[in-house]
Formats: sequence, structure tokens, C-alpha cells
Amino acid sequence: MSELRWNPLLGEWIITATHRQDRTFLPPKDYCPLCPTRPGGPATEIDRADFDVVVFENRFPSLQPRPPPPAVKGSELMPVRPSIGACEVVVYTPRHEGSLRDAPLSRLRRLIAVWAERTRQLGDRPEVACVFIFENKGEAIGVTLVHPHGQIYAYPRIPPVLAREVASAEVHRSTTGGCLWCDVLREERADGRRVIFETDTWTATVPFFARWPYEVHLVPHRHVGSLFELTARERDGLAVTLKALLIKYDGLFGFSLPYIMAIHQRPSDGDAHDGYHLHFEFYPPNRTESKLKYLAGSEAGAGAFINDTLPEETAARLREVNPRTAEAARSEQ
Amino acid sequence: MRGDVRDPYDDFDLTVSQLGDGRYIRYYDWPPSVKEETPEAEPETDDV
Repeated sequence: MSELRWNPLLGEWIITATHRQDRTFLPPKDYCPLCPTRPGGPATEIDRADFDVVVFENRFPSLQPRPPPPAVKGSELMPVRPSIGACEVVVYTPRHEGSLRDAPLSRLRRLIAVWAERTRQLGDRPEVACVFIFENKGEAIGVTLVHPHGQIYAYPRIPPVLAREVASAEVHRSTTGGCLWCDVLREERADGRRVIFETDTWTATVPFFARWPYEVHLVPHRHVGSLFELTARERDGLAVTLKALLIKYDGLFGFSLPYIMAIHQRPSDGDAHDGYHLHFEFYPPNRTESKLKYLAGSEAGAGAFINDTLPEETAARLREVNPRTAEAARSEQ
Repeated sequence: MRGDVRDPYDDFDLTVSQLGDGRYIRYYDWPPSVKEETPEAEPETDDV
């Protein structure tokens, strides 16, 4: 069963996808569905013995190009819609072990090219309003497969967080004439205390308004809305910035840090959204080496985040982690 | 909207096929001249 149900209290669509209860959960390495199908081995999702980067439709999709009819009848107050869209899996590497942090820059560059191509292709579909690329990393986040991979959701509506950003950007543009992210980035770079890494095309910061202790945003210096609008030089800068951040994350507590990576791009719903600015957001759940931040009463019940740390201090700590590696990453542009 | 120079990483070979249950799978391959890849770093290595 899969459908969209309207929540009139919050003004947002909820996706029901009951079939996802049956999805593969932390299988042993020999039965990883994201590994290549080896000669004589069990068949996996990937019907080749080797590959570079591969993308396939999720076996347990929340959204699909040809969704089934809704299982329930909605009302005028609480309508229901088919769960149209797409859910894809992006497998970064044939190697089962490791993480995106272990990828050399050339693999990151290839992955960026794939993300850009999927953004353009899925965004061109008339039923798709927003292409959202993300990665859930680590069991603390709730991953069900450890093989390095990410996901792409192509939504039929702009999802709530991006819709709020779009609205904020439009208000800012109408009152100041400027881009919200360009202006925030200008203030962050001028202040400097929350900047953790920079290339000549991208800046990584723990934002002034961080909700998570080690939340980091990556923002391109030029005003672009989508990955496919980046120049080759900007993609080089993105690869270096990504690599430097992931090295810092894994050096922070001495283990591979769990995180959610969210790539926010200009929606593809047909409106111009000229004020929207491409950026990456990372949310690691750890607030210390051994303590996680949970979405509890204030966050889950009221939507009001409480950050137990100062962004200026967490940014300083991230700056100090592997500073030599950061220099090496910068020099590879 | 794209910038000055075409990104060589966009010159991939794309092979699209269908899995047994009809789902699409897309294989992206690059020529060796584009890949120029060094062996992937082990997790404990900081080299980039």
C-alpha cells in the first residue's frame, strides 16, 4: 500500500508506504543486495560482476512512476492522492566496505556527474516537482544497508522543508532584492568564526542557526540552483569540500561519523524559483562521542530545535580536526 | 546556464537495462582517460 495523505493541520502531504516494512534489514556481507553479482554468488540487485556507479529504482519505493490507486478514500478536508514520483538508489562503489569519505576525488567527481544527470532527468518529468538527493549513513541514522550508497526521491510536490526555504527566499528577495543564501554566506565569511573549510568556489560552515551540534552546510559561492548548473571548476571545488568535510567528520571522535546528507536544489515544479540557491546540509546525530541528539518533545512535538552547543565552538573544533588533510584536499583542486 | 568548460566527467557511457521485475537500472561508465583513478583509500587513511 502506498499513497499520499493530506495533513490539513500542518498543510503537508504524508507518504504511507506499508510495503517498506518488509525491506532488507542489515543483511550479512555475503548477501548484500548492493554488491555486484559475483560469479557463483547469490544474485544481487546489480546484475554485473563489476561496475563504477550504478543507479536503480528502489525495490521498496515510497514514490513510484506508476503507483497503485490509494487504498482508502479521502475527503475534501483530508484528500488522498496516488504516490506518484520516483525513488532511486545510487550505489557509489562496488566495494562493500568503507564510506563516501574513502572515495578518491575522481570518484566523487563521477558521483557528482551522476547526481547532476539524475537531477536533470527526473526534474524534466512533468509529475516531478522536486528532486531530492540524500544519504543516510550509519546505524544510528537507521540505515538498513551498510554498503556505501545514497538515494534520490523525486517528489510530486515540494516537500515541507524546501517549501519553507523557497518561501523564505522569496520574502528575502522581494524585500532586499538579493539571494538569501548569498547574503547569509557573505555574513558567514565576513565573520569567519563558523567557517570550517573553503575553496575558491565553495564554503563549509556550521551555520549561525545550526539545529544539530555538528550540522554543516556547503554553499557554492556563485548563485546557482542545481548541480547541473555547476561549472567543471565548481564541481572540482565541491569534491574537495565534500572530501575535506568527511575527513574532518571521521576524525572528530575517531570513528566513522553517522550523518544525514541532504542536497537542496531548486524545485522543478515549473515555477522559476530564481532566488533558490543550491546547497548541501549535513546533520550528524552525535552531540558528543557517546551521546546522540534525539528529536524529543520540543523538536518532534513543537518543531522547535534546541541545540546544546554553540556553533562557534563546534566549528572551531571541526576546523582543528585534521587541518593538514584539509590543506591537502584544497591543494588537489 | 552551465559554465565555460564542458565537464569531462559528463562524458560517461550510460547503459540502461531492466531487472527481472521490470525496474530500471542505469550503469555509468567512464573512459580510463577520465577516471585516472588511484586505488581507493583505506578507511584509516587520510590521503586525498
